Amino acid sequence: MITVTDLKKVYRQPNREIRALDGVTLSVPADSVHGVIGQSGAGKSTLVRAIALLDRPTSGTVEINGVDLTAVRSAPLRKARRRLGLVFQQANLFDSRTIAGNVAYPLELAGLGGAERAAKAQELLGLVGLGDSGAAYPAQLSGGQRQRVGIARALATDPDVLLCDEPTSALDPATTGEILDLIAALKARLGLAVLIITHEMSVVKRICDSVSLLEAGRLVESGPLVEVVGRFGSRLSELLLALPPTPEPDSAAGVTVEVLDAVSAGAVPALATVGRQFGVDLPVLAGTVESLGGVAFHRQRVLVPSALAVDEVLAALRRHGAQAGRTASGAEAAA
Amino acid sequence: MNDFWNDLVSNPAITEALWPALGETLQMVGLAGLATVLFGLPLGVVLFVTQPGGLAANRTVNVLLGGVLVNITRSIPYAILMVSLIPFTRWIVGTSIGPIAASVSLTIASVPFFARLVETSLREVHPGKVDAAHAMGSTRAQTVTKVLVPEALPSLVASITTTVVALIGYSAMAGLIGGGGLGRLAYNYGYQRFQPEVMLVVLVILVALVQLVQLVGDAVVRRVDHR
Ligand SMILES: Nc1ncnc2c1ncn2[C@@H]1O[C@H](COP(=O)(O)OP(=O)(O)O)[C@@H](O)[C@H]1O
Ligand SMILES: [Mg+2]
Repeated sequence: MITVTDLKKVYRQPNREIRALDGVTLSVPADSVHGVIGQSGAGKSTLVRAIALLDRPTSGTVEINGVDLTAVRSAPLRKARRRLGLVFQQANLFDSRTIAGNVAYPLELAGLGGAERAAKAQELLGLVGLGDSGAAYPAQLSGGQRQRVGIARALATDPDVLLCDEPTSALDPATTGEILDLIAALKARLGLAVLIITHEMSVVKRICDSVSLLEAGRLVESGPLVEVVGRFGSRLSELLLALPPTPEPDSAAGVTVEVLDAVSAGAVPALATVGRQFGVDLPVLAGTVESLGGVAFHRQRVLVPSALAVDEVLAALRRHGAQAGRTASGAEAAA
Repeated sequence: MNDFWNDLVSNPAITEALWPALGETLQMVGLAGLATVLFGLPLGVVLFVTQPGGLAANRTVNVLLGGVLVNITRSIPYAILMVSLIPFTRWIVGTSIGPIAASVSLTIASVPFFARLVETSLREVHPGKVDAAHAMGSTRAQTVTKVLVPEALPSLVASITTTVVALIGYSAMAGLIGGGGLGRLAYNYGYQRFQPEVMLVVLVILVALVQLVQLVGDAVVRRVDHR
């Protein structure tokens, strides 16, 4: 369990202050994955460095199982750090050490003997699927393999928390999937609290149980994945169920509306039911379907022809369990 | 051609003085090289860690050691440095003559040079590795000895090679004011007594020595470089 409370980081420059983190509060229980998503400049790197105490936060606390990391320094901090494993975007392996030597590094710091270190390193490498590569050097591995080593190294001291800084941003999509699946498997097996900082929506959709949106140093939206995606008109819902831009239709042609429908397995989407009811096929301008947590989220941008009364269509959609609203006037959430 | 060859094999400067001179040069370069690494490596590490934003940032120490000590020493031409260091050398080793005495000024001249090379080598280590070392709970000393220096090792070995090659050059100059060695031999016989064959032999040996040092240095770099 990791709990971050009111974390702030202010960079003071000669003529101004940059509030890179402006009161971040979040908590990740054991055996779950929380994603923090943010655009470039939102404060993601600052957040990782503050949580890992690589840079001291200006104020706020970082607690792991109730122990406040910001309250300790020097030797106790170095010891407390072992409760938190850090996975970097570029793996940051030591090129001068073999793969096994890299994984053994934190064990060396912890004072384990040579034989013990070797055995534990071998076990960890087996855990990440690199049991045969211990004698190789980092330069001989692919990007995905290096990230596996990075994960094994982060797990060497049996941490409770795994903090991942853009762990797949340097990888191709197929390797990204493999690494995320590995993190998910390790989380379940070791009961880890995993915090992933990323700018990739695909990462959140694939493994996160809950998610927060970081913007200008603040978490502006937060919640369980299924809940935030189902929050019609929310930024996270629109980011995770992204639709391509479509040209504004001629006002004579009709009005565009957006529909968000959580369709359980085997059920008929509200849009289809309503179309049948009105006796027209409502033209879909853009649409996406994403299966998250066992629920299929349908998000569509639909043209309601001028022959129909928009409000009646919206009311009908809502009656059938969907959330819907006009696009131009913004999203009017509905029950 | 035959005459030249006869001069070569019968000249006592070559048959008798050459080997001791080579020995003196090797002694100067070896001693000064060893002392340079011994003092220069820690100095380079201190320059690196005390720089702004460094592991142990300390403006005062950084400016005193880097801006003042290193830069001033490096701006004094070696010929002037070795002469002005004669009293100091006498105080340290009891004499200002011989290869051991010459090693003192050679070391003082090359420590700042090598320290700067060390600093540059350490700067090339990706800062993410230092972050990783910290995140895993390394102390600053462990970060230096277990991460920074090993990660910079190929570049550090290359810096040692460069420094030793520079020392071979300086040692010839040091020979002129009492250091002995090949430089002295070339000056006494080749220049003052105008025996070009002595000059030539010394030149060939110096070139071979530099080549050998570079060859060995490059081989060691290949050996320790796993990147
Ligand atoms: N060392 C620093 N000094 C001053 N400003 C910084 C520093 N590091 C980051 N910032 C500023 O803090 C904000 C957040 O940066 P960062 O955490 O790197 O964002 P992200 O990783 O999400 O792209 C940016 O406005 C950035 O310019
Ligand atoms: Mg960043």
